[in-house]
Amino acid sequence: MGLLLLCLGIGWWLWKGVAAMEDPEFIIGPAAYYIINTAEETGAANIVAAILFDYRGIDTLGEASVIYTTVCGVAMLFSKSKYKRSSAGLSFIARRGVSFLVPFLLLYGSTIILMGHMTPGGGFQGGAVFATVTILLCIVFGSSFEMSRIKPKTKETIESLGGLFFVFLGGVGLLAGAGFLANTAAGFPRGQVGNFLSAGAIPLLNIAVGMKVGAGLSTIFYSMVRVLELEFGEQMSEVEGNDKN
Amino acid sequence: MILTLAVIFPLSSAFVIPLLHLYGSRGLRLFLPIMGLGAFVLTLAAAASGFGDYALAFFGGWPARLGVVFVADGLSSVFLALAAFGCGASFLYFYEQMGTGPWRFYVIFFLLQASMNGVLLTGDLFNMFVFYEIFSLAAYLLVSYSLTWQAVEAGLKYLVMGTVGAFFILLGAAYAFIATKTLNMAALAASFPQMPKATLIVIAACMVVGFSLKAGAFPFHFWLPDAHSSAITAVSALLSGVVVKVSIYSLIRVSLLFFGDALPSVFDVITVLGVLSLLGGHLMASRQQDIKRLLAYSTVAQIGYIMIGVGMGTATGIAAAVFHSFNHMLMKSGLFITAGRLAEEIKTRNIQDMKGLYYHRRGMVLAFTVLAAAIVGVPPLNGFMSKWYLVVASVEKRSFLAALALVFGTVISASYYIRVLSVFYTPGEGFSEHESRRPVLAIAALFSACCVVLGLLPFFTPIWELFVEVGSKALNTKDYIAAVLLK
Repeated sequence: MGLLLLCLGIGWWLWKGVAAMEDPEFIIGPAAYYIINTAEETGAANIVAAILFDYRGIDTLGEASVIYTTVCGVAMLFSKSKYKRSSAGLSFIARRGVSFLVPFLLLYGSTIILMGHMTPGGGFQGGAVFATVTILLCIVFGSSFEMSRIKPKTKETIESLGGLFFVFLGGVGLLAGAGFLANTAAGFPRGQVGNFLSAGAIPLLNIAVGMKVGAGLSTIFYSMVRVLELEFGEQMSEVEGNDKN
Repeated sequence: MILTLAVIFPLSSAFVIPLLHLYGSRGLRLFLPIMGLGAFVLTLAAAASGFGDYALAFFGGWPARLGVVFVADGLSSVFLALAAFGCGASFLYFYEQMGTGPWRFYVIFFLLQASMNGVLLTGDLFNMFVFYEIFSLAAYLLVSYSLTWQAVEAGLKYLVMGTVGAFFILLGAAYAFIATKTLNMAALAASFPQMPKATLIVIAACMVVGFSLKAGAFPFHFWLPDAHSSAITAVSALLSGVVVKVSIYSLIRVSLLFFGDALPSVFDVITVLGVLSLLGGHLMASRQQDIKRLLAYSTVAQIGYIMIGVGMGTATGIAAAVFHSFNHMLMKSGLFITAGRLAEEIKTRNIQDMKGLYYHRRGMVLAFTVLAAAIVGVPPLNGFMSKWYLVVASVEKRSFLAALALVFGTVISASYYIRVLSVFYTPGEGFSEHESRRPVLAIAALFSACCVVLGLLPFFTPIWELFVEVGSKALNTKDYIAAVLLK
């Protein structure tokens, strides 16, 4: 009861903080500037992508690094478990169905990444789709199949290369003297707004983030599913042992 | 350029290490020392570039209002130098002990260093939160690196509490953004005095609670002793020496920029938190039997000293807080390295089992003695100097209660450090005869020498005046706003 009152009190106090602010009638501040000038300055039709990868590009590098840190941590925490056996996977029908689906999923993921500067989407979302494909493979065909097709080593390579590619694209701006992660100011071609080849470095940065996120999320799932299978296997052998007794 | 590189170089090192490991480990052996040295040198260079005048780096070439900007001034310079030395010492310690084998440790280490430099340099509130996320995640992982159950439990506790703290910081940033429609700290500082009082109080409370949680001040400290004591030695030294100082820096920066003019009562709250954490930390430390837990509680108390300095809100107060932060990095990193190494060698952390350690590990115990004397505040060591300035600052501000707490806390800390030292120097038997390896001794000796030198330096050079200048420059928000927004 006391706790409830405390929560209500804090909520009321937070609400008063919001209520005290007056809402302006028009969009003001940097947001207004972005809406007016994004197309001209960056060539991106998607304003959100322009803010993420151009105006505030270093934030995006940071956010991608958060995922990178998490992946590294999950791999570290689960590194002691030894891989014993793979799950058997699902039935023939599920396998066939998924194999028909996979090419389209890959296409869908690539579209989201490559058109991120024109339509809603981008590296984070497309990378998540790619990770979903590997997770599907892992569930439907069993993790040893997934491991034999996409080696953990390959995933880690892709992930690190994605990060390095991002830093490299930023470094071009630094070398051009326009500041780290500069886009059109560093000489990346602006293109025609709405064209596939437009917005300078933004599509390339989307690819870099897509590599990092896709490989990273896939590694997280893979490291954790191995542990689950290990525990499952141990339980099974215990059950078998009990049966013998 | 150099400000950007101070963050980007360690970050790209973290990206390169897995590749080097996967494709031939000879590359790792060759490049790892270069990476460590490069990060150290670049961080120091960034510190040097910002010490005299404001140094700025604009990301993407956008002006500060539109994009993200890195700002280095005197305050961030001192903390950057602190981070460079602290990170360098634990890198050396770990490298000497483990070599290049545990490559994942180095990935997380460089991510931590990059994001700490980012927090210290950034001039954008949301960017600070992003770097905070990386650096907190890396810290949780480093705590549980050894994968013993104590370490994993401490890491989990740290994760939960740290996430709550991050939530408060994000909530404060969101309120600030809704109220002003901008995230740049200089622009925020310019528009904070016009903000309605109710909103201002919510933002101030969120920021102070969030940063105190991350720094481990008293009512929010309970993750800290576990995390700092169950981590491996190199990580304990890094966490106590550097990581909590980054939160102290953020607290100083945010409270001075945003609330210096708009809501001065924030500083009273910080002073009260400081006094609480000083007394609570010292009282808890005096009850500990485990040497690393004792040192960890002592960190809580020292955070209290620094927060009292911040809470004065004057140039001398900030200067004393910054000076004490630097000194505490030297003393506590040194103490954790010596005590942690001794505990590893004799395979116990119980103080009673360390009887007569002096007669078997002369070098390490001597270094520990100097460092402990410095942290207690024996004149003329550096701990005495910075505590003296803290007392001077609080007497200047007429808060005698804080000054009294400072003196009283010092007495308690003397009692429990003397207890440890008396155990070390009582004759006892039962240790294998071998002295610690040279490099570790060298780090310990270097840190204790620095304590002596920094204690004597204020008598010969105007180093204290330099710190006061840093403090008064950090207080001068108008110059900061002009430097960032008008360029």
